Amino acid sequence: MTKYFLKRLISMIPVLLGVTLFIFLILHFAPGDPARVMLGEFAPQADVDKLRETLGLNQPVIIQYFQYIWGVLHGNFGMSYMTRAPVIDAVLSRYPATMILAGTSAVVMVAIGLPIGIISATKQYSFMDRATTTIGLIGVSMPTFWTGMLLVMLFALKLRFLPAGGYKTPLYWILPAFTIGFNAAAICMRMTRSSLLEVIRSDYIRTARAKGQTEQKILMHHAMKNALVPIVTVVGLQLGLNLGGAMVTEAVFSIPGLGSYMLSAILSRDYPVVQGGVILIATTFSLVNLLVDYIYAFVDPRIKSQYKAQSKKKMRKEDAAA
Amino acid sequence: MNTSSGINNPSSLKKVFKKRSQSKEVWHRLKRNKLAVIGIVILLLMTLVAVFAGWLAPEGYDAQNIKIALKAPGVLKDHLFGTDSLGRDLLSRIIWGAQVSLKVGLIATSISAIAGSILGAVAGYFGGKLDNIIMRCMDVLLAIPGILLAIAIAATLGSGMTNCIIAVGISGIAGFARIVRSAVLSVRDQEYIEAARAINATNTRILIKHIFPNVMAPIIVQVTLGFANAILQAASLSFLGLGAQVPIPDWGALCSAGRSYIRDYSYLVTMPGLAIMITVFAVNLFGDGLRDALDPRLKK
Amino acid sequence: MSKENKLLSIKDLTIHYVTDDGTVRAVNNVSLEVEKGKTLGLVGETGAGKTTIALGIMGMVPDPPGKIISGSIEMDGENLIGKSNRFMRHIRGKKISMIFQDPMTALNPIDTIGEQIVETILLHEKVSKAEAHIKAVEALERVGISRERFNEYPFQFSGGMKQRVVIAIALAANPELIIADEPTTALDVTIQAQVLAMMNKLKNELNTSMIMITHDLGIISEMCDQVAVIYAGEVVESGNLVHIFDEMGHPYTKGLFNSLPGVAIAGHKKRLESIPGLMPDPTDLPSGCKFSPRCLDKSDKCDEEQKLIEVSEGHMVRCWKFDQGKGE
Repeated sequence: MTKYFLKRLISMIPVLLGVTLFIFLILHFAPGDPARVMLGEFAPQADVDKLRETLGLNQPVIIQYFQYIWGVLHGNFGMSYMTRAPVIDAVLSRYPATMILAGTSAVVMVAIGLPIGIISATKQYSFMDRATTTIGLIGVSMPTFWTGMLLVMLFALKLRFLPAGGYKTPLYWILPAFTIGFNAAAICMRMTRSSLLEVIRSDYIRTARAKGQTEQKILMHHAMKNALVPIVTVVGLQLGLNLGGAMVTEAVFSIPGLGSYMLSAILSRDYPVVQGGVILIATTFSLVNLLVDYIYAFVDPRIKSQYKAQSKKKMRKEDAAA
Repeated sequence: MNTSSGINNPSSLKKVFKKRSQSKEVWHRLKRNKLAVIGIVILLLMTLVAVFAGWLAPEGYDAQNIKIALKAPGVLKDHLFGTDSLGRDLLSRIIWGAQVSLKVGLIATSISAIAGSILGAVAGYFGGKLDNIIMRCMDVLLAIPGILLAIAIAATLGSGMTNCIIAVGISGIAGFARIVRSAVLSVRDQEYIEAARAINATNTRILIKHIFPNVMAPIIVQVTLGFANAILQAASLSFLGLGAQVPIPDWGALCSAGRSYIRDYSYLVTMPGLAIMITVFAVNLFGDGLRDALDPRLKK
Repeated sequence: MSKENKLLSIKDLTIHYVTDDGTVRAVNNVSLEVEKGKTLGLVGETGAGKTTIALGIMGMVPDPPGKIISGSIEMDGENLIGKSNRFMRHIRGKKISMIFQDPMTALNPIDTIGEQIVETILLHEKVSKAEAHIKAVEALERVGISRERFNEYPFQFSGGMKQRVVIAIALAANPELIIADEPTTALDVTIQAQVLAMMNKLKNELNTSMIMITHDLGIISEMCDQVAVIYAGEVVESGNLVHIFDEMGHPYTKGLFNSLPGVAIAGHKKRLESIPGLMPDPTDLPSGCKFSPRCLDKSDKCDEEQKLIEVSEGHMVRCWKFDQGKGE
């Protein structure tokens, strides 16, 4: 099975390369001249031209791309156009805040979404189920920035309970976590409910009942374990997305994270920062997906055997070729 | 033999052959779902508001009047939702905003659906190298979180609603491609396709006549999901300043504008946000109902 | 049938499903008996109500929309209807086991088959995990699966093997009655024969009573001692094998036998005769004899409610034509 995952890791590389190429091309075809942005509106054109020369901006795009990749392979992600500081340091320094945000909101998502989804599925058609389904649907329909602002209005302004922005102590983490967490919990709840509902109708649940098993054990062991795969998928997806895409929440709460850094870098045409940031984000996202697939193997033995079979197939092919 | 004796009497036959055509059956099931009907109704109302904004809105979306700036809802007779910092009527702004947001959602989703479906169908149907190339490209698009992708594209193209539409549209392509591809894969190897090939139908004909009708169901469901997503993404882009430019009253832009006044004039934020929420909620209700109607075994 | 021999006694069982499309009268005043150590066969078409009867015995009729309207199911002097779920949990698997039709989906895909057998044992017997393991291995070998496969998962087994596992699970806690709902319908014919032979062997070894639900008259003849023919939720004929196979009375039973492909009789090839028409819509059952719309010998008396008439000892038919007292 390890062979399967090594293969997956290796196949991530072309995709990541594709991502870098894609972003590279997008940025370079965007209007705006980084040199001009750096030196300001009133700088003389000569200085701008010289800076373009220095930064290598006048070369063909492909050459620039390969130079960049060459640098990356040596661990050099370039310098920020804005701060002249190494991109790696700049990007990594903003990462912790994003990680905390993603982590805390994932906790909120699972803590709220999972139990409510389970209750909703087991008491289908009851008032509770209808109510939570509707609330869940509302949660999924609320734009994140609005949720954030509503929470700020209620907790920070009216009740003066929690701070409205910044990111210093754990108290500051609560509102942003709930902003993302509420939306994510709604998604998790819906997925848990639908996955569980489908599993509960299965014949093997009927078999378990015919054995005389308790409803509790049927739910927790037989049903939930079988319903986990789609739920884990959704949780992983949300986590991965938030590790690089929580720009809106970071904007609302003035969180010094990767997302808001990306936003300002894109707007100021700070190419190296955007490049480096996107590589980090895409890599993290792909790794999270890989991790999710890994978890599948532990939950469902059929998937585990598929992974093993694939690597076995490959081994046999190699034997045949040898 | 079997002549009379009541077995062939009309009423029992009628009971047996009660089937309707498939799409009528789906429509019937949809109608019975009360929540889905509520969703459809709200959506229709929103669409009417959007289409007839010119007639419905008391004022234009940029009718400024500093003298009555920042009045709360209900304070002034003519301004049900209050006024913003430039004295513009919020109700009018929101009504015009319906036109903007729905238009963006519709066009962006169409872009995603058409481009994504064609790519997915081609990849699924022809398989092999073509499938590999297309899906690798989709993987690249999918490796970048949606909002980041949309922002990058929007930044490239520049701000403004048109570019916002294109950006949101492009970021939705991969989702459609995946779904259509897997639907096509599940249909492609069925026997009736083999039969069609046996009578020498061309690939295009098979694609259009046989495969597409059978993958319509997942496409339709994804369209509703995509529409909801598109509206939210466009609103987020506008909120961040990348979509609608002043004074276009996109709902997200309205929230962004109201943000500075959130302390004392919170209605400037709650109202437009509510509009977004209600619209997306209606779309989701409809989408959920549609999904249940298309696959009834999930309900009962 | 003396009282000591009766294991299960169903009287006037009526089960309805209340849905938005109408009330499905699935089971109507059914009375059945199962003797200790014997097999009762329930024959009938799909939708006749046989599975619902079985679910009713197990206390597993889905509620909503199912409701037990009336009747009693007696076992060991207790009426199983109306008992709490807690009570029934101790019955299920321990006193009465049920196996279902489709073996492909009957087993939990993420547990090993060994674990699934152990689960039954641990639920009903006060033994340690190790002892349960040993018993489970025994149960597995009893159905002809080698102990080396104890830790394998369901997806590694074929359909026939899976059904053997299902049977092993059902018999693991040594129940007094096993209800088999079309256990071999989903299997190949050759595998069918193997599984049925195995079931017979086990039944005799453990002296288990059985209710065999099937639409296959061949299986009835091989496995059953008593037979009840079910139509539209009613018992239309019941008796032992001789009664049903040689002395069949009810027109529906006759129709069932006539629709079997038969050997040539006296040189004439027998034509396949089907019973004209279809079973009535269970939300709109006709009054009077429920089979009469399809009966070739229908007359006015068929519009009255029909009772079960004892044609000979132990042989009951629900048709007024057999009521000697009233004449033709």
